[in-house]
Parts: sequence; structure tokens; C-alpha cells
Amino acid sequence: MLDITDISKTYGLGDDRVSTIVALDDIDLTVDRGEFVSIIGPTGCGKSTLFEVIGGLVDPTAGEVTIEGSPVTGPDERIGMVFQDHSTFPWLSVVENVEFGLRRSGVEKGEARDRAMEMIELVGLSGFEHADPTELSGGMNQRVAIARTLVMEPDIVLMDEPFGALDEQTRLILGEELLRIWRETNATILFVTHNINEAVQLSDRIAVMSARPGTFKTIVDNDIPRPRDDDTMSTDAFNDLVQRLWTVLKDESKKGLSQKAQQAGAEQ
Amino acid sequence: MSTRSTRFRFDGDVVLLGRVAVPLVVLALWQVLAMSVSGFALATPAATFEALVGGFRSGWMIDGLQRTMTELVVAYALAIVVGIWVGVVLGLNDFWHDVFEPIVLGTYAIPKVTLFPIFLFVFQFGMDSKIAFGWFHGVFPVAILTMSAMATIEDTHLDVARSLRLSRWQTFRHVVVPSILPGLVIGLRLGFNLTFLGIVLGEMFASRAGLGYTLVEYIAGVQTAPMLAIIVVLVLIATVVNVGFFALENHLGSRGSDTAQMA
Repeated sequence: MLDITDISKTYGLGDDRVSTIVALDDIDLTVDRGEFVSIIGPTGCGKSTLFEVIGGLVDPTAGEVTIEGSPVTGPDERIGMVFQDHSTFPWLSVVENVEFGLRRSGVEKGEARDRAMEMIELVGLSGFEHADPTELSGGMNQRVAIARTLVMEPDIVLMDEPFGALDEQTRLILGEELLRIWRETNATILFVTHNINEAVQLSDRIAVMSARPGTFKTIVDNDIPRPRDDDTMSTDAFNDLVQRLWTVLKDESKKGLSQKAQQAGAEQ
Repeated sequence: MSTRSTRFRFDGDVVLLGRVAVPLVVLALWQVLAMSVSGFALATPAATFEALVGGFRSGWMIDGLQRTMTELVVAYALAIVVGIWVGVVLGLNDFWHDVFEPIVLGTYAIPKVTLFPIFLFVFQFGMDSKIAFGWFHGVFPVAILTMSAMATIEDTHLDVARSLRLSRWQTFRHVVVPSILPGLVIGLRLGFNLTFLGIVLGEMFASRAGLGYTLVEYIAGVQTAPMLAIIVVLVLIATVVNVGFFALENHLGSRGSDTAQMA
């Protein structure tokens, strides 16, 4: 359904824009309807850039993104985006946050409110409809952000480390919640993370990115049966897959770190 | 607030009582001062009140008030519109921000009263020069606080707006405005106070009408009762507007914004 073809992204550096940095290099990926695909990669590998390119917020230097064959040329109603954190609007209540996109796209007030209320129930925030985001925990704020995106009924949901700023326990619980929501809404999800366990817990397939310039080292099928719960995470199959992914990722992480060290050295 | 546990805490009623008591004490001091100097030097509160009522009855106070308020409203409205516009543009555009920030901050710092002759020669003796001078006082805090509030907008909020395909106007109305509101309201309060200052100064220096002009007339004539009556009216206007702004700032501040701590 979602086709990412030969995506590259090059940034100009410095005031002269002469020296360049290749953030993404020849990225290819296809995501089928209803699939849950994760992208993992070391820090600074261009995961977030890829997220922005697929979401139409940033133009690629080369290549294209299509949904059912028709290209994504900018922010697109077929795509919903969930950002890492600080994305809920603190001046709006929970329900006002969730209905925000609907209201701005012209959905009538009563209908927007009804759909927002349904979505709030789905993400498990019943009873907090009229709370302010500042009163809620980081995990609850991410539920609000997810509801705000899902209520728009996008064909595909892009998530950029949505649980990255949360503590481990909250992250696990929200992971399970996300799987439940995914099942109930038949959503298609492309999920960016640096957390291997999270990727294995959630996804059907896992694409591993290399250090910069970011490209896919390998795309691994995850056959661990669903539903996956706490017990799944202690099985051999789970740990084997985590280990396999870590072996690929370890070299890239080291490369990423030495790139960082070089960069820091060059700046001094 | 909880860190102030070592201090003695009074409940709200006592604080309110204190706030009412302060003006009463000032009034009492005024009375004592008026009685201890010669009657010509300073009118008593009672005589001032009489002059105040007389001023409204005979109409001179109403005429002056009308003139001053007209200048104030026009100058303040222009300061708000231009100030917000400049603040938003400088807040959005790095180039113009870097060019104009030192100029704006520098101009804000000069004692603007020294520039009054220029306003007088350009805009003449009537209302225009006072409006222009009041506007010149007020536009800076509005622009500067809008500009710094623009820097506090979360990039992620703008990304959310883009991904939800908001128009430019929708982004301004539903993301930018609520983000900068706490800082903006502080700018509007400071802007009002300075506009008011500019108007009254202008009237005192070169005018034939308005409360500032009348004030100078009574000072020259050593008529302290009507003089103090005008001062009371000016103080009341400033107080009422500021109390309103403080209430609004508290309301916005309770929603937890960083910009509320800027001024």
C-alpha cells in the first residue's frame, strides 16, 4: 500500500551550503495494508529524517513515496503522524486536543466531539476528557497524541519514537495498548524506534537502518505469534530475534558513535 | 509556593484586608500632610473629592477625559496592531530578527521624552502628536514581548499543524496565538502603561486640551484641589486596567507557560 522508492536526502552544511551531508541513501520499503512495520537504527542514522520525508514534511532529494500508487507530495490526509513528545497543545483540554484536526478540516462541532469521545475511550482516557494535558503524565499525553492522529482515520500512521521519552514500565504498557488499538482499528503502522525490544514486541517486520548515510541493512520478518504479552518477552524466539537484530545494529551503533566523536573533534 | 514553608502564611482574607488597608493608610497620610502644610500647598482629600465632583458637574473633567481617552484608545489600538505585526514578523524570520532586534531594543531604551519635539513638529499641536507619541511609547513592549514569545513556540506544535494540513491562517489562529498569548498579554499591559504615559506627557508639554494639559494649568495656578482630582482620575484609570491585566495573566499563567515568567 505504502511504497517508498529510492529515497535519498542530502543536506547542505554551513553558510555556503557547499559541503553536504547524506542523511538518507536509497531507501526502499513497502508496507502492506494492516501491517505493523518498525524501523530501528542507531542514533543520528536519519530515522527522524525518514519519518519527516514519508510524512511529507520534508522533500526528499531523490526518490518518491506513494500510497496506492499516488505520490505523497506534502502533508497528506492519508498519513497520520505521531511525534516523540511535547506535541499535545497545553492550552486545550484532552477532548479539544483530540478533535483539533477534525475541527480544522471543517467537521461540524457535534460530530467532531462524538468522534473524539469515541477515540478517547479507545485509547483508555475515559474520565480525562476535560483534563488539561499539563495535569497528565507523559504516557497519557502520548495517548492523547495517538487519539488525535487516529481520529482523522488516516490510511497509514507514522510514529516517531512515540514512547521514547517514557520510563520502561509505561513504555511496555503503552506498547501493549498500541497493539490492542492497532487490532481494533485495523490500522497500518510504520513505527520508528531505537529500542530493539519494542520493535520485536510490536512489529510484523523490522527494518534495520545503518549509520549515516542511512540505508536499510536488512529487513527481518518477525514470526513470533500474536497476541504477544509479557510472557512472550521471555521466550527463546523473542530473545533470539532481539539478539539477531542487536548483532546487526551493534556495528552500526559503533560507527554512529565514532561519527559523532569525529564531528565533535572537528567542531573544536 | 510550597518552598515558602518557613515563612508565616496568612489566609486570603487577611491578605485582602491588607490590600484594602494600604490605600486607606495613604489617604490618612495625605490628610496629615495636607493639614501640616499651608492650605494652598496641598488640598485635603475632602477638598479634592469636592473638586472631583465639581469637575464632573461643570464638565471640564468630562471634556478632558474624553480628549485623553480618545487619544489613548487610538494610540493603544495602533500600538497593538503594529506591535504584534512587527513581533510576529521578526519572530518568524531570522534575517529580519537579526537586523532589527538591536535597533528595536536600542530605541526602546532611550528616554523617549527627548524625542517629543520631533513629534510636535511633524504632527503639529493637535491630537495627532499625542497619539503618535503615545503609540511610540507603547509599540515597543508589545513588539518585543511578542517577539520573545514567538521563540517559545514548540517546533513539534508547528509540525503537528503541518501534518494536519492547517492553512497559514489556521496555524496562526490556533497554534501561534495561543502559544504566545501569555507573553503577549504582558506586552499588552506594559504597552498600555507606556502609551498612557506618552499621551499624558504629550498633553502636559504641548496641548490645549486633555487631562495632561488641564493638570499643568492647575499646577501653574496653584489650585491643588482640582490638580489632585485629575491625578486621582489618572491613577484610577491605570489601576483598573492593570488589575484587569493581572487577572488575565494569572488565568493564563495557571495553564503553565514559561513565557509568563518573562516580565
